[in-house]
Amino acid sequence: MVKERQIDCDLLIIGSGLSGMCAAYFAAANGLSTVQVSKHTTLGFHSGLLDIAEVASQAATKSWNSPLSAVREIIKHSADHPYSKVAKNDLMDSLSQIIGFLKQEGLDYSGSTDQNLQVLTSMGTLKKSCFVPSTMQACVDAYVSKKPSLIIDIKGLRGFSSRQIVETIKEKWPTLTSARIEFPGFEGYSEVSAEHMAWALENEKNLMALIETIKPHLNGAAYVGLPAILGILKTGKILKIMVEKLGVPVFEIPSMPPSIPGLRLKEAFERGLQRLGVLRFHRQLIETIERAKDGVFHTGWDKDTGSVRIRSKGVILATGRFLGKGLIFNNGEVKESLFNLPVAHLEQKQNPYRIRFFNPQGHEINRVGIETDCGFRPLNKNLKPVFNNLFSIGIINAHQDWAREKSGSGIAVSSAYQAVQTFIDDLAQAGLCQPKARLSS
Amino acid sequence: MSEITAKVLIIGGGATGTAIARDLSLRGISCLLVEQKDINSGASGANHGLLHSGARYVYSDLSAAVECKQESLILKQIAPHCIENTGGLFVAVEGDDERYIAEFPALCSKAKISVKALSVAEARHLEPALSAKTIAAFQVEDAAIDPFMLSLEMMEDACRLGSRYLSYHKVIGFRKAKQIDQVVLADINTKQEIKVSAELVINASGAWAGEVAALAGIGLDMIYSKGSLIITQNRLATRVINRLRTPADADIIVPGGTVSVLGTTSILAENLDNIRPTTIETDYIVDECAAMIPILQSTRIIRAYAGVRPLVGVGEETDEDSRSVSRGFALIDHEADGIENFITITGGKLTTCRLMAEKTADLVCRKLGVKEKCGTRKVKIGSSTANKWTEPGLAPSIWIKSREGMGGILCECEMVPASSVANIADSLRAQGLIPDLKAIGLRSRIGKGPCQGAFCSVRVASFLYDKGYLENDSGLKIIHDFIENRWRGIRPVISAISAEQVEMMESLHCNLFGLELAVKDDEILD
Repeated sequence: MVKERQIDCDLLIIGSGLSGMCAAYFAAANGLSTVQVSKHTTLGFHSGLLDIAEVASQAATKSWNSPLSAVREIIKHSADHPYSKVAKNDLMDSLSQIIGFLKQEGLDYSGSTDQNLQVLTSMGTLKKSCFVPSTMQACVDAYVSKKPSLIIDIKGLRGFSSRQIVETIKEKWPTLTSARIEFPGFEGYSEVSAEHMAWALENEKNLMALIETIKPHLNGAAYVGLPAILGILKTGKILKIMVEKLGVPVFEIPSMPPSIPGLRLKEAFERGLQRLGVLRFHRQLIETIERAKDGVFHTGWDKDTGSVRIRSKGVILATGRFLGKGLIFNNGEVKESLFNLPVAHLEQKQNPYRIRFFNPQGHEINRVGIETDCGFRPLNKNLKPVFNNLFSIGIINAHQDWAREKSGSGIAVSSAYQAVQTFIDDLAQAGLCQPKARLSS
Repeated sequence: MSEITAKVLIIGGGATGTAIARDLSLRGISCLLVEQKDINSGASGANHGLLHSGARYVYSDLSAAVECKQESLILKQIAPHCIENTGGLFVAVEGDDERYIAEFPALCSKAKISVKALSVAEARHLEPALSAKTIAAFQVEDAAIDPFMLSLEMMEDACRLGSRYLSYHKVIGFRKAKQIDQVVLADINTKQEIKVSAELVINASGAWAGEVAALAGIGLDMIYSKGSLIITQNRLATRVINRLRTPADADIIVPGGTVSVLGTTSILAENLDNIRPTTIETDYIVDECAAMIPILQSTRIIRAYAGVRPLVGVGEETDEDSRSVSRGFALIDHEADGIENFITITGGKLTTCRLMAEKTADLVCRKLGVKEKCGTRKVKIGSSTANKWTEPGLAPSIWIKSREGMGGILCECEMVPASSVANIADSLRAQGLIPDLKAIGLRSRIGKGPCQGAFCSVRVASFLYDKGYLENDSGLKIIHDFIENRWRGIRPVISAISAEQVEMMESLHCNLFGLELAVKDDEILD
């Protein structure tokens, strides 16, 4: 006899990227019984920086210092942009709630929606972001001050060269110097992994050894920058000890994946959501999903150990774009992979990708996705919600180009907030839950 | 403005130009070869990689067939390291012209081109991917050749004998009276000009021959025939597979190490700007070649590219598709046009590059009063360490045998270690060339795997900075240009899987690194 596990819940979240995690948080924090299912997560690619907007890429390449001005400019040129559906206060509130939640899990963020902060990348370029993790705050200050600073790289960590960073930015920051160290315990390896080093630093002995290795290179530097390897669970403490022992502020420099700051976000969300009672199924693909006449969604899958059946009052689709496998590009068409929700047709004759990859205006295909109403409900061809209790959040939605606008995190967080709020309002109207004026933590 | 003197100036760094540099160098004549981009930037870098047995031309052009046969034998002897002697098959499928099939073996024999009839069962045993609708098959001595290794090694041989190679320098003018006194070059990147004085100037610029000749006031009747090709993710057949019919489009599937190269097309082009493969062409190639190997319909295509065949019009009426213009070459002594020291060599095919060079060098020696005879039939083409990295599968096989001292893998898709990159970078520096990503990519497998250069560009660039090969912020444009270069081949064939890779690339290079903002590209095509 095959065991069947029956689960009843208010909200089912499909996807564990930033938007899915935020939706699970907003739901659980407001008393909704929440289940989250996902096959993968793209958080391992997240730089850790929570950005709102920098460039209104459809129209121009101007880089805005004010994220809200950038948002305004973006909406001006894209009337159906996800940001156009969210009130400014809700955008700000959603971010501050997520930052508060992350802080409880040991991940500190600083910044304000008044202005974008600049941090150094491993490419030697400067990335603007609204909120930066505490491990990168010192970089903001260091760059503003242009004080003599030391950039450390680690032998065997490919794709990160302190000389590259110093050489590339030397016109703007001439007092930057570089040095190479070997990670204690990993000497002699031709390749070292950021993950191994980050986990190693959770052990204080290794942290002290690293500090001793860095010390001889200080030479009066006012700041020290290094690859993002400062632990995964105890990052705050590790940073504090480093700063204490080295005697100068320390900052991490984001680089190519695997991203340790992204991993930290994943770990923090997983811990926090578990604390809030979210039931999570990871590495799990949904096999069947159907909506019954009474509006309840029936979702399920079978395993050798038994089958799982979930009945939920609502579903939030947070499955991402092509990387997240929420969208598929095949035979010149983009399709949504789970419900086959309507996605605008691509121009048949034209290649949806531009001749120049780096054309700042971005590729047409990036703007294609799920059309939604203000509540982030996917719309059918008649522009009516497909189902009043189905939502789609994050970058799967149309009319945005997150990688060019630098708006990925803001879109994820604010759409998650809005969708959950809409769902709660609907439940309240139906008398199924307590209404709240606006979501509060 | 700097000035250089050379005995012979060769314009064009394709298979022809590098073969001429080598031939002349072997005869004691040192050359300066200038190329507007880098080695094999024209048709030499955009072909099938096929070493013709000649059987393809027995029906339409018997002398070309014989030439191919002779030259492929010579190349197999002098450049075995550039060649995979795969053998080939000619196959016909249901519906193909039975008369052609019937006449084929006799025509091959007439040209003394080795051919062996196979039963369909035998053929499908040798090549299981062949269609069940195969009706005839013949075995021939086609082979696969690496045009990049070939040209790089020929140039290396020439340089070892005293010649010199200058990349990214374009000819912008000639100063002449009865002969060319001076050739003006411009550095493509810095725009700085260099004046070259040479006793003799050879225009070996392939499809650009008309443009170059025009600078000297000479008109050449050029026909531009664009050909596109596609590359599959895996190698579909051991041997070269040809369609047994009158030569047409999408007739040939050539193995290229771990992949297969399929093509080609022939579309008349107005000019040499914006030569890109179109989806119509790539779809057509898949459909046509699938008649021979049906699994093609579901095979992943990882890249597409296009080149322009240099065809010199012979004044006759040409077909719509330009295929009927002879693929033979044209060697023109412009003494007849009033310039004593100027020669053009253009047209031809990869298989006959050595022969084209021999004929050109013979003419050069006659004009210069040099008595040395051609040595290229016998002297083996060199095999240097720096140029061997173009061979697919070489890097992984070396890495598996010995990981010591390799310095970590920089390109994970193709398993290229840091030591190979250093090898190539050193070689470039020794030649006075910039060791940027495009130059290194050309000389290795970097960026040719599934990641499309997204990660290896970052790793290789940081390695180059570490070792002092790159300075200042040059890395930004170098990475930018390398990715754009890889993008050219990917864009026409983007599939479900590559859409994911493209998103990853944007996430890293746009969202995090902001390369699209940091590097201003003057040329906004689209």
